[in-house]
Amino acid sequence: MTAATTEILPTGPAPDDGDRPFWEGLREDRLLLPQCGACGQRRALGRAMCPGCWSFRTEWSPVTPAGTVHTWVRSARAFMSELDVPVPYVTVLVQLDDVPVRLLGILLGEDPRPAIGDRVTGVIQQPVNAEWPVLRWRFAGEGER
Amino acid sequence: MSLRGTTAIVGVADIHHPRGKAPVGERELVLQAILEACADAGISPRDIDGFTSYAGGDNSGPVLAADLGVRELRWSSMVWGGGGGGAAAAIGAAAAAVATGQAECVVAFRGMSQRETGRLGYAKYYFDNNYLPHGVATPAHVCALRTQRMLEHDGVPRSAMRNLVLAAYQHAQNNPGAAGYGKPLDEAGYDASPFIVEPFHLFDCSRENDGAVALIVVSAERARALGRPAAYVLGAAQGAPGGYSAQNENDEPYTSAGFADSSSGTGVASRLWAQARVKPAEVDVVQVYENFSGPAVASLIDHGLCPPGPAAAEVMTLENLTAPGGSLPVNTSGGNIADSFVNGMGLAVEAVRQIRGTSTNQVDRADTSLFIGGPMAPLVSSVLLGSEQTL
Repeated sequence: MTAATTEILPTGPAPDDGDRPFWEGLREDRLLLPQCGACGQRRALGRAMCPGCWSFRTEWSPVTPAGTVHTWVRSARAFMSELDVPVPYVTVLVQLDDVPVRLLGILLGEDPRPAIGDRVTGVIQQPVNAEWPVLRWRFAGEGER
Repeated sequence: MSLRGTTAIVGVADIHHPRGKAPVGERELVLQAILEACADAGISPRDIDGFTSYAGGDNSGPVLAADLGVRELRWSSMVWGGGGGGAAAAIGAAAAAVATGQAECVVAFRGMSQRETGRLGYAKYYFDNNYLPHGVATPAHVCALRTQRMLEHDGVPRSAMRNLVLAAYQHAQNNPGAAGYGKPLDEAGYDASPFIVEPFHLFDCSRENDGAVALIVVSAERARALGRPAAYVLGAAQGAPGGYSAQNENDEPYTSAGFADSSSGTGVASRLWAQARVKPAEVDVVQVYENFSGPAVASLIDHGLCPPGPAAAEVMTLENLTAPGGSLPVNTSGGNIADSFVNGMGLAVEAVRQIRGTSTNQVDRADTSLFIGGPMAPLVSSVLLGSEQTL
């Protein structure tokens, strides 16, 4: 199974546009994540309100795309024909250094063998068959960046 | 007010076909199962006055009430959220309706037909753009993420997962209706099977079937009047720690299956034990929903039936997990992995069979029989059944 596909990879803001700044940040090669505009608490993407103080005020600020592998999986089958990476592929869940947030992403490199705790660095990539860029990861010290 | 001992399951049916091969549609499958469960209970289908289910579907209470010609519909409720995590909660909702006098005879059911609803294992529609761009597209992926950390970080050994699967296959050898019947599996066969999503081998993954399952819940008084072996509901609980499995992988008890206590409150398992006034060590037999083997192990840990971390190896031996002699016999029909999978509700029927003494892998004396619903879902549930002696 090769990565050649003409199907469109799902990317981009949620139907309610609540995470649009995150996706627009990727287009500017920046990782922007939400925090409460009232109390400053960080939260995961996809929530309109702060679960700490119930404010709807949201601010988006740049975060360094670096962290450690919290967990990982290796997909041995082509679960998504629209995915632009070859099978098998590895997806990592990364605990960011700067903020208490975890983000998913594909781990780049040839047959990568991650372990929990490995250091990784974010890479913003524009798949040819996607409307928006996506955040992916490399082992720290590998390749560009 | 407590649910304990106020209601009972008096009739069951478990119909399954290979996936995509049911001769009739999902609605007819459900109706067949309800009729069969009524016959098993010795009641008329016209006596049913309530319906509960989970994980969605169009066969609602009013639809089925019309088909069955029931006299009066008094209860129709769908467990909200969590997919297969709501399986035991559907039984809990039926028991709650009967215990509070809002209905008298409620059927908890689930039907699945691949022609109508597709493959659950490829339920891509569930995932949004926080997941799909990263190739995380199936229930296997999200369960694998948590399982890998349970293995690598928490130190639960793979043997715990493997032995759960091998026990299921061993049980299936005595169950002629099981998909794994006549197809024994050993350690080498498990290890040699291909990875689907590492850490899951093929044999770590549930089957899928077309079929329908129904369980009839009535009051304890009525159960005694019917004069047939009944499985009394000793406790039922649903829920999850706030935000569990619903924050794009940012929830804190990450390797829990969703049943454990957390900093935010008392979990499903603790609430179940307290309500039932039963301790984990007193459970005679367990049916644990295995969408995948790893989450099922996490469920046993959450319920206090197995220690966390490396010590899980001591409990999760093939000998312990196998009926009739094991100390923790699990999935005695073969379970979702080696028997059949109608969104996990077949396990509830096997939990009833154990109380009735009619399992193909009957444990010596089953007075308490636990059914744990789908793990690692945003809402999970479990129900503990007991014989008349436990009341």
